[in-house]
Amino acid sequence: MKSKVYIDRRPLATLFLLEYKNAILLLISFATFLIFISSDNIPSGMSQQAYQALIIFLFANFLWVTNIIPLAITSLMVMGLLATFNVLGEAQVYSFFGNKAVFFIIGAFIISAGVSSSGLNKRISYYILSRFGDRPHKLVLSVFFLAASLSHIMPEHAVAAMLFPILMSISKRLELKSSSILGKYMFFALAWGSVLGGVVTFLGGARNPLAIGILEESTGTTIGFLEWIITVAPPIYLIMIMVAFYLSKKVSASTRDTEVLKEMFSEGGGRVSKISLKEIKALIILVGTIYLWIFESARFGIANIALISAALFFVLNVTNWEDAKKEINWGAIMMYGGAIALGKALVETGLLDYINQNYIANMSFSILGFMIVVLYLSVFLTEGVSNAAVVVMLLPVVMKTAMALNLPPVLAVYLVAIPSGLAFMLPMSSPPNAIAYSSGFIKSGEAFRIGLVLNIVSVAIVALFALTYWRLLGIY
Amino acid sequence: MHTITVLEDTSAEILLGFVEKEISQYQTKYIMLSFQDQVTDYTRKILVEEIKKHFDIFVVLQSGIPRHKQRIEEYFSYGVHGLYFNPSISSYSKKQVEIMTFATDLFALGWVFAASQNDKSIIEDLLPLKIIPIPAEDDDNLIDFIKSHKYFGKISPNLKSIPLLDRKRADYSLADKIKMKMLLETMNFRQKLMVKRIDESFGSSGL
Repeated sequence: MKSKVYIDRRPLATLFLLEYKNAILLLISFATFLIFISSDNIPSGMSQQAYQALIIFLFANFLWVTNIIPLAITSLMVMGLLATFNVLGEAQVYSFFGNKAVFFIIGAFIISAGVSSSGLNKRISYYILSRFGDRPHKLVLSVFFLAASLSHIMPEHAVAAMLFPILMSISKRLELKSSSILGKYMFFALAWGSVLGGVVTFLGGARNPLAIGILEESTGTTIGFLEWIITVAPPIYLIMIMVAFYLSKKVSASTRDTEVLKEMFSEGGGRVSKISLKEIKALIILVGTIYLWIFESARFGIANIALISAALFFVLNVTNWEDAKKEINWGAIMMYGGAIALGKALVETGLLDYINQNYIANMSFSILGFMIVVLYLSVFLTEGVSNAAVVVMLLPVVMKTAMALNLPPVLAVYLVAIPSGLAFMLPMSSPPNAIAYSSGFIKSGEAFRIGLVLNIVSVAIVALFALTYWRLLGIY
Repeated sequence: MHTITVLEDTSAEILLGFVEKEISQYQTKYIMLSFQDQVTDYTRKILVEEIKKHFDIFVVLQSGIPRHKQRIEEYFSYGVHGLYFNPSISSYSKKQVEIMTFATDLFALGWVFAASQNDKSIIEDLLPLKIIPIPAEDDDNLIDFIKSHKYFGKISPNLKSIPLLDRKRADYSLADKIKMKMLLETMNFRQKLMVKRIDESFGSSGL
């Protein structure tokens, strides 16, 4: 493709380092890994397998944090390393792809593809925006709640990607400049709504099923779909209400007339045709699936329901394999197999027991202190690292620490998984942020400042609910 | 060795055929290209890439002296190893000298050439500027004068046969060939590091 070029005149050594920084980092980390993994200098009381699991865990964390090779490839490599160094048996390592969390995620991706193919999500978006978008603050709040609601049933990145072109058309129609208040908060609403909505169910982000997969593999216990919503929704909904007030107050300064949007949604390109049979079928499957997840998941299992529901989208001819293939994030699925295997290795080799006995048991944590540390660690780690990687890195250790404090491992899942989804500050911290940034209306410095406050406030609210509401629910 | 002039409709296949013929006929290790004005920058870049993909050969671009320095950067981005300024003039203006000097900062040392019109004063002027003067026709005395000049040793590409200056067929030993290959790959690598596409740079910002 034709593109403009420029000549970089910095010293060649600098250019070389910049061009090959990933390769250099990878070589150094591989060399360091090989030195440590083959070392006989194992801490006393730690088995060789536990030591090797620790080295592989640190190596994987380094690669996940630096992102010098794709996250999925790191996960696959982890499986190879665990099997090669006999940390876990070969058959056991590769069997983790059979975890039902992985199949739930596949099902969820296909359901999302089905909803998108039918056009149901677009219809809902057009309906909401044309009906409630006649005032600037109503428009922004519509975007916010629409994104949040859709993220309950679809991956948050898919919601942001679907709404983005609609919002760009709106900003074009309203002739918004890059400094526009309305433009800025409309796209903030898109990012924040998608992020917050994605935390409430298992469908918004695959990190929640992943966390439950790790919980199941490590302890044999699980968390149901309804149980998750009952626990997570109240604190998140409170955060959403506060964010909605904030957005409404900020946008009240805008005097832009958005009446024109009604025309836009009733004109040629923007007009949505009458509801199609496909959309009706998609709606019925979706409602049925959510009903089964909420009320019958104990009987049928959420992964089984997801897969049968996914199949129904094909049986009823709502979607086809070509569309579904595009929606399935195979990278995420590859990542989760390796991540679950690594979590299991930390438990099975006795590494976590060792860490617990030698380090954590000596610390005098209060429950509040433990919660605050874990919540803030997770929320700030997720700003720089993939949401799912945060779960893999923290959850096994936090579960063990929770158990040492006589707290149930289920609590650890909530404490790690919820804040790992609440990435507000940086464009790279979650796909909805990156999509909203690409609009050109959001300045990074401002997003960083507001995002930082949102991170702190969100975690404080989650901590408050953890100390009160979750106790009432009997979680611990 | 001849200059290969690339026309607007010259295909990569035809160009590669010409280059192959030059190589087999003259056992040359470099070729000189000249582009008709109508050939777009993008096509020039693609054609140079094709030549480099198929042959281990230095590519020198023959051109007049452009008016703007930016044009020199564009020449560099084609992937050519050297520049030969061959304007049809008898002396260089101050501005032209400035442009040629700019080229010596960008291209590897000893790979910027300029026509000397067989004028010793021009030769004396060009060599301190790290530009290798090229006689209009084979003139052994003039070539000896250039090669024995005190500045020539500091800038000459350390090759058995100096491009454009040594026009006679040379026999290359295995050591010569290895040396050339190393020099060629080093220059290609330098170019790869320095030439950046704007969209690549934008993409790497993570947005």
